[in-house]
Amino acid sequence: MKETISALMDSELDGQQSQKAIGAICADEGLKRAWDEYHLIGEAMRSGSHLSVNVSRQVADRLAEEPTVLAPRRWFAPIRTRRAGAVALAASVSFAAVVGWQQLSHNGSPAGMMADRGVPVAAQAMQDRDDLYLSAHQEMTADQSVYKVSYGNGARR
Amino acid sequence: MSDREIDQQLVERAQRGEKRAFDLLVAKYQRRLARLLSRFIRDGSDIEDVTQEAFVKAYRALPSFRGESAFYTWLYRIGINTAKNFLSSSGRRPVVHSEFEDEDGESFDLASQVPDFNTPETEMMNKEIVATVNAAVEALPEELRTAITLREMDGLSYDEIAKVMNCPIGTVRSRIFRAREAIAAELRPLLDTAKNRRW
Repeated sequence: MKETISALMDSELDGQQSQKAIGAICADEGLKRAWDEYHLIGEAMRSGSHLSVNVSRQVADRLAEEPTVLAPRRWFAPIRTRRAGAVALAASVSFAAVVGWQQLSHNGSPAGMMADRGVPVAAQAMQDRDDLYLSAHQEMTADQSVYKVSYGNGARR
Repeated sequence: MSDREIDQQLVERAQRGEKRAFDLLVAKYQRRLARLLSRFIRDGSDIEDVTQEAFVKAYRALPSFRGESAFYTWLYRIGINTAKNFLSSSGRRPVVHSEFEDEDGESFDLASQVPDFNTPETEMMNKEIVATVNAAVEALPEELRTAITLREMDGLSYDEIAKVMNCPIGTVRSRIFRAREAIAAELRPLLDTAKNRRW
């Protein structure tokens, strides 16, 4: 396992192997010590200053007194889900745009003509019905008007 | 997995409550952070105190770390702020301060080039560690010495080292590991002594 940690430090493991190795180091004091030593060796070979600094134990002691941090999980969905949502949204917008465009720009189409004729046809039928009603009314009231007129005229007279 | 991704993994584990993952980040970055802080703070024991404080602050601030920058860039920024607070509260002047304002974490490694303000004890310990490591490297069989040197000093990948040394990558991996183990075996008595002496 120590060889795996050595490779982990050199960024030579893939994601899954790295996860496994990190988990192993966190769980094993001996592996953690190897992690410490290997880092120290690299720094000693490269720099040579502040190598004796070792605050690991003090920090660990202080963190033991700290409440455990628990960062909230990120609110956004995984990339794949977000991508699917974006595609669905784009499709909906496109569909609405196409339907709207057809409604507005295709007045000469059969659907438009039917819609256009619908209103006059209904209005014509209504007008014909009103005419019948009015003519009947006029027939009825013609006599009355005579009487009324007569009455009016007579009254005035 | 890159170095930055490994750090991110450790941070995410710590954010889920795994304190030991944060310990690994401390072990990895404590010396680099101390080197950086030595550009501000003169006294060796103050450097250690501020390093310690910076890590505790970083731990407390972990929930706000979202990985938009590298962990060490973020950590170094916390370290600098901690050092500034320390200096202002103690009424001391920073050793060096001008060129840090606009720099990001990556360039902070220049700190390794500045003079050391260690105490005589820590300076002696540094020298002992360097001497032990150098002696251990010199004592390695040539193929192990070449592999570890190409990796640590020249920063070559295993694939590049395999080409240079004309051997399989698996052999490179094994050689580097054996080199580290051999050096660590020489170093352990010194580190154990230092632990007993200091803590």
